[in-house]
Amino acid sequence: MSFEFREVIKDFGGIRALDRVSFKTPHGAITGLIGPNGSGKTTLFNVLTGFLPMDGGQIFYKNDRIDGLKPHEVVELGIIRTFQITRVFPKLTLLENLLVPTRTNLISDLLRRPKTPKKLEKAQQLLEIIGMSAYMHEPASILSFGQSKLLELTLSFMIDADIILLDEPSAGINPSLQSGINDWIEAENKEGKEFLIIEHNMEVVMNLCHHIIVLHNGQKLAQGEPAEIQQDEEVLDAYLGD
Amino acid sequence: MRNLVLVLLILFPVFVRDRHFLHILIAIFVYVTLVQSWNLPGGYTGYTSFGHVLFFGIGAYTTAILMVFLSVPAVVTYLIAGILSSLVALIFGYVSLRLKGPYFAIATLALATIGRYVFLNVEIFGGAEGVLMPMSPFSPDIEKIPYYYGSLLVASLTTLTVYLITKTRLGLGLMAIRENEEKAAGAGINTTKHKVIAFIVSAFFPGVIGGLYASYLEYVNPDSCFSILYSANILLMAILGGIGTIAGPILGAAVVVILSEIFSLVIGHQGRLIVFGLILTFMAIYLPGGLLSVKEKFGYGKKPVSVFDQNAGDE
Repeated sequence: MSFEFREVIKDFGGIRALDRVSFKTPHGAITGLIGPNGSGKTTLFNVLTGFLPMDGGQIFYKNDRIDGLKPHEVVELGIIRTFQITRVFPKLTLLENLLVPTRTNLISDLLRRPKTPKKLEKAQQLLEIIGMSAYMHEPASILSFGQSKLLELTLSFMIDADIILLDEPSAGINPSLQSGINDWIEAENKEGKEFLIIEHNMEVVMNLCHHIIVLHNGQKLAQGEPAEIQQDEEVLDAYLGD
Repeated sequence: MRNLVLVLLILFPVFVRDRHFLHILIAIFVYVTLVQSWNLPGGYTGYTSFGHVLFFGIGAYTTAILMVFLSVPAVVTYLIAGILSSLVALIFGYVSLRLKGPYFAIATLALATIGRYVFLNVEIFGGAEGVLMPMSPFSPDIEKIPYYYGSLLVASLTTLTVYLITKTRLGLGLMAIRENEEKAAGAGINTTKHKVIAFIVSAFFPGVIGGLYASYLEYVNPDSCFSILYSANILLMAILGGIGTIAGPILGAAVVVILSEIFSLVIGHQGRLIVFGLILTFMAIYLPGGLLSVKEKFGYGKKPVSVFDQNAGDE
């Protein structure tokens, strides 16, 4: 078990975005987080990564409470996220973009050069994989939407994170790039990285994820293996009914 | 090129003893210090301060008070002035750097105004009259020279410090904050720590130069030391030269101080302000990246950042 949510509540004014959500994620797996629009998936990410305060409940990571931590403290623990709307740093070069992620904020580290040989090698390797080596020194603003998403995903591989949280990694990008991304996620997972992925594309979810959590109207509707979820009456109702 | 300019500046007083020329160069060095230090939070981090004069004023008064009331040697007071400014920046920065964009700008403007009122109302520090300081120990024909080298040194150290910071993880983190603060936090950057450090560093040098300038003028008063004109000039110079670059503040300070001199002679003080207003408007529309971005238009050089589209990247 990696994450454990216990009765997590998040309110926006009078609207309850997360309603006593409880679940555990299996260790080392690719876990999918699905649900119709407005079901609370991104809110759950924001609460988990310290971007939003919660209104009740607890979140544990490896048996330690992590709710109330600041975003950078969550990253220091080895948990990094991407954003649904791409947020690369447009005026920094691709290489500089990749050098930003960090797991330490000690003054002694802040005064070092960002471009260590090890980081440079890793950045070059990753840029090679996504086919952007030639643009290493170009500003990220030249990238298309799909390319920005790819760069954003690449950013999360730069630090030795244990868990990567992806908010719709394949939304808005073409199918061939999509399958490339999925292969990459699977390969990294085999290397030992754990994933929690928000995804709309059912085909992707069913093929990629080992475990699925379904949210609906801020509540956990179901949880289980892809095959179980596909048979679940309530889930089918939530997606196809009304 | 850079070294040549530095050597020429170092040798300048050997050949030119004209008091007026030396004074203009001292003014340029003072402004390079102010604009370059403003540039670290303002240009590289995206936190535009309208009250940078606060730290200059704190420095000026620190030196004046220490020299007049406690007879502390001038050079020692400069250091204390810098440290005190940084201390104020630490406290104020920790609170105000949570604010973004125009809200931060207004908070800095307000604080500088408060600084002015504090010294206006404290009688032992002279109130509106200010503090008259000891006369220069140097003879009139060379009295400007120590201040010339002093301000040149401070301006150089400020520039070097900002340059070195931009080459560190801290500098990259600051630029990431400017580009997208939320994403920076998501990438593991402790944004508060980064911003507060930048603010502390950026307050130190104006404190030092404020002290030095006070002992040069031998007089401080609240209206001149905390004048909003300083803050306005800093912004004008930064925008004119090129925000978020190392060369921009130097270029901007030199151009504005020299143009000021020329305009004052040709069209008078009031006319000068009108012309600068027009220049600023022109820059905002046609050359938001500053004079340095002229170079960019011919296809080389690093693109300076514009203060006008700092938040354009947000959705």
